[in-house]
Amino acid sequence: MQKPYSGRVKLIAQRYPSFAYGDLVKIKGNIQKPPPESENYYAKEGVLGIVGFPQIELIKSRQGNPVKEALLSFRNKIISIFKQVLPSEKAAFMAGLTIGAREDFSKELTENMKQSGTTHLVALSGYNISIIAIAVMAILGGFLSHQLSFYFATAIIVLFVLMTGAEASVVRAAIMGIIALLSTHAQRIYSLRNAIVIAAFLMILFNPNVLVFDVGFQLSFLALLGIVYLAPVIKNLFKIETPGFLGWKENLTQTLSAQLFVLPLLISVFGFFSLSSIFANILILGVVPLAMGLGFIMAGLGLISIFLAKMIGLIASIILSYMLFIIDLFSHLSLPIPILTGQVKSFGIIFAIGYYAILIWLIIKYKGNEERRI
Amino acid sequence: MPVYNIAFYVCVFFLVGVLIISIFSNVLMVALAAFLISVCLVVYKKYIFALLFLFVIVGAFYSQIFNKIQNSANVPFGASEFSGVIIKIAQGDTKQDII
Repeated sequence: MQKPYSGRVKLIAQRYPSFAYGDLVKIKGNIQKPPPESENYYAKEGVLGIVGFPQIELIKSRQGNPVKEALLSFRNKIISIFKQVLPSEKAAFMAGLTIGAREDFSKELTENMKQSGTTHLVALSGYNISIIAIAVMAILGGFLSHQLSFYFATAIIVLFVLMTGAEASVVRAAIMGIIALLSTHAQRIYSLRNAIVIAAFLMILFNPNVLVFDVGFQLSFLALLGIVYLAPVIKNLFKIETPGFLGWKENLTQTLSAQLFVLPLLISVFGFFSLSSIFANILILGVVPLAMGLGFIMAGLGLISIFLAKMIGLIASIILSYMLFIIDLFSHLSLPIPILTGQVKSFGIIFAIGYYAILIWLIIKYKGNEERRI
Repeated sequence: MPVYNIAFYVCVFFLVGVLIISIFSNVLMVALAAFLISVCLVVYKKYIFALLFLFVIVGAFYSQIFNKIQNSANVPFGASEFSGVIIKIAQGDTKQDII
């Protein structure tokens, strides 16, 4: 709000007229305090009041941060390229996969992804950041010094985060990605443990409320901890030594370990967990990097020529068809865990502590075995 | 202890401080408890961990101050007229959520 007032308020407005980032608007309405049940959510967003369907008058456009305005305009350009190259549902899905844009998702697609346990595919994460970092370093590394390539890659990761709305998962991945680049640049060992904690520390320094009130933050870190610490345990217990055809064994261990780590949170927050999500993810995760890579190439080529982007779009379309088929199939083959879908809608705190104590015990026990074996 | 390990534990204890204050919300109690644990660790000659426990207090106070500053904004509750710049917008099928 502008002077004499200050602070953030949320406006729930009619769909039209449409407003955009950076619009300076005059509001006439009744500011209410957020309801107690959602107070924490709004605290995390820094929102202090809510106005339901106020009168909104546009005073002036382009009053926001010019860098962010340019990035959002670039984001819209990418989405429009996807729309020109791919059928509408595939274009929306590709926009979700590559830049986390979900505004064009149909209700059916959103529900199918939820039922099949694949919503995390459109939460930007390490995959996206890795592709950007590798691509930038590879392209610029040819004609720039290593130091300049590092600075450019870091800057592009930061701009990508700002462009995509800085969700918890992508901020976490970006910080860890930059630390990984920094470690290579400084010729130091990359410690995953330290990178995870520094990422959490920096995010909480920026906004301490995310630790307890941001489900995205919690899911992102818990899934990562599962993949980093529990996946090796599962591999060891089931003697998984090779990634398997199209990496299915790798995908299985990663999905299972991430799901086991986020299980109490999923049940507490969403009251739902489906076993079929594990199978859906095994079948999908193998092609995600390819789909994302093609998406980024398509967006890049689309800036030069839509015809060139359409050539890549043909291949991408086949992969997206497969992914959407799996999502649709497993949304209908949902295998909810019976005890977790009825009356029991939340893990008690004691049960959750016990659950994580068992997981930690398993991890420590495995680590000991491995060290002894070595 | 190497510097990177000290940095790691400082971050961890700071995060614990933020976590505890987010749950229990009484900053003085949290500070007192962390201080007493720290004193106990000094008695047992665990000087590094005693020092690290003080970062629980830092985390708790940081979180508390952050929320105080955030909530000190001048929001005109009730019927009012005001102006501002849109910083975030989510457009659905039937409505727009604007911040």
